Amino acid sequence: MNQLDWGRVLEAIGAGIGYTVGLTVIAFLGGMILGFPVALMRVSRIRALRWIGTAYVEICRGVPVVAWMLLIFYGLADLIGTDPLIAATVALTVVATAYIAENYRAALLHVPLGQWEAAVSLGLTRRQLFWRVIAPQGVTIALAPSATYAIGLLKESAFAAVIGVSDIAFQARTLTQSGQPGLATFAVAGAVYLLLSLPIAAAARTIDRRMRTRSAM
Amino acid sequence: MEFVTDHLPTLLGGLRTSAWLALISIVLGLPCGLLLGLMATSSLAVVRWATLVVVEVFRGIPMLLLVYFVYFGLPGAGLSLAAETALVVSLVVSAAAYTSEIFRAGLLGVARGHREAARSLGLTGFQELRHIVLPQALRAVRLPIISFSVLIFQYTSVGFAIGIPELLSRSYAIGSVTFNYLGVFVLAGVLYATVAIAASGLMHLVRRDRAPQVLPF
Amino acid sequence: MAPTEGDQPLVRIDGLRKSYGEHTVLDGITLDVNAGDVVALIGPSGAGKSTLLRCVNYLEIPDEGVIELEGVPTAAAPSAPTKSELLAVRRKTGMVFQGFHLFPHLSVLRNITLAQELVLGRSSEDAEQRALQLLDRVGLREKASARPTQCSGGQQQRIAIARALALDPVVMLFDEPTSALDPEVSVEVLRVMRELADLGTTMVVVTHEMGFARRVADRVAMLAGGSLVEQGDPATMFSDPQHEVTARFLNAVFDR
Repeated sequence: MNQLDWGRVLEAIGAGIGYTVGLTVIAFLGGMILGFPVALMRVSRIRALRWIGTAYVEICRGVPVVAWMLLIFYGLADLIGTDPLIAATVALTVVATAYIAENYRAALLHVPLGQWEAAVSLGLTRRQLFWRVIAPQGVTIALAPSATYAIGLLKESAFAAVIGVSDIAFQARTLTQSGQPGLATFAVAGAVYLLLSLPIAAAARTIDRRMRTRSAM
Repeated sequence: MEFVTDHLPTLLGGLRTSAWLALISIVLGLPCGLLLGLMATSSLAVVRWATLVVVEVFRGIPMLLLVYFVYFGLPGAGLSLAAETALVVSLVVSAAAYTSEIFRAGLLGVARGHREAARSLGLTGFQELRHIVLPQALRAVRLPIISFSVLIFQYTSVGFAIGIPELLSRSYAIGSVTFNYLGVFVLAGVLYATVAIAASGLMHLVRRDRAPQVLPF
Repeated sequence: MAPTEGDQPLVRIDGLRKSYGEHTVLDGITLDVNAGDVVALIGPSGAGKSTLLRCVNYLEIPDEGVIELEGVPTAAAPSAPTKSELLAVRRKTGMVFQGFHLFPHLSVLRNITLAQELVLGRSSEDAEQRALQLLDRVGLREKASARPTQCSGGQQQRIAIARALALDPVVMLFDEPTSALDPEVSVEVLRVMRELADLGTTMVVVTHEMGFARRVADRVAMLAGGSLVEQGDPATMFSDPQHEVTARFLNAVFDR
């Protein structure tokens, strides 16, 4: 069995980190922004909107991430070109939007009825009530579970390797194809993913703790 | 339409392969998850900590990398597995790690009072677990277990990366012959989503408490 | 549950100590309970009443002191009972909790038969027969096949009493059995307890129901700060408490 060439392995995986992190961050931010309107449709009293929102969430979560990557990369090449990075970003954002929308939805429904009643009794209009009272709380409550979801997203981003994005997983596979020992190379790559997830996990915990102390007051 | 009737049988064959792989992985993975969950609630701190570390490591590694590790890495250690076996091993390990957290929460969720009542009646530790704790815990976790089982089914699509002729690989093969990638991947997506939506309907039936699903006012 | 022979107390507690870290909960409690006695444990919250009761059932392991059941020490060394000693004690003592703690996944009948079969090895027919008999006694036979969640709090507590009685314990321990209940349903639980007392059941009851203590208890024991302040028959104690603490506590309770 060959020895692991640490220099080569770390250099290649280091080069992959940028892709992994970039993909994750963009898909997460995209999901945080696009997820909100989807969640609003999901909880709307207008049946048609609710139906569209539900269909979006169920379909996007019901299809595996790898399948999304392939569908967009090969199926929509005419539309978005043949850059795998763009295809992977779109695919991951589509999925992240659906998952984060569900976090928003749960958070919006979680705002106690008393808050609605209190706001109504103050004479706020429906629009003011929603945007000034309910939405800010919903977004705040959804932050902690969404931060936790970001860890999942980091791991899902590895599927971009399947369509040729040079992320960590892709670099690891390429290294083993050019003779690096598989066990050690993949273990190093796995460790890098674990390390990258640590700050996200810490952030999620901090947000969660802040929420708890705030709601306790 | 002709495209659908031409290729649907092949895709359904792939779906069957995916479903089998998922089923085997779930049947093997859940008992392991329950065992890990029990170990994670052990009164021995060493067992508890060791379990949590193992679980966190396997939860922190992307599914694709785990499959690479088992299929391309383990042969370096003298353990060559068939692609299907490698995928099932990866899915079982992953399912055990993820569901152990679900089981752990379920076990810890059984009210202390019920354990005490069982003990006050003179039940042994094992009887308490078997008759009082487990039935309640398993009942409490059935929804997250169903939704995780769907995820396992979706993760069988990683088989694409190691050449298992499951649903996604067969779709890709059809696409590379017909060049109708979009059509075939949409069709595959419909099949994947159908399974997920059916499971989500099942969960809706199982769920008792129907919290309001739209915003008030 | 026939009274035991001889004049030794059924439960003898001697020099019981229990602390959690720095915090001493029981500071050397000595208390005898004779067969057929109903002893009410009263005192302010944090006095150690519940802990004392839970020690008798070995839900808590005392640090020091002796507990004897029917003249037999419940553990060779109180701080380290073996598993079989733990189980033996729990089989002989019936515990009723403030929060009922019926098993929500089992029917009412199964709640009462489960431990009979598992612990006493009774056949399911015998266990069922005994359970129905006890449900009759607490007036809830019609609830046999219901789920605990379909019963009111008062009903659940009466079922919990039947569950504990089903193992034919030598002593019944009640830990604030009506504290979680509204006054109007407390009455039905207290009535069942009173009937048990009339049948000669040995009972130790942690309670804030002074009316019950006065009418039903043979003896009232006042605990404060982990110590037994005084004990005596209820009439005397309520009208003429010997200690300042007791007087203050009783005033506070009755002035409510």
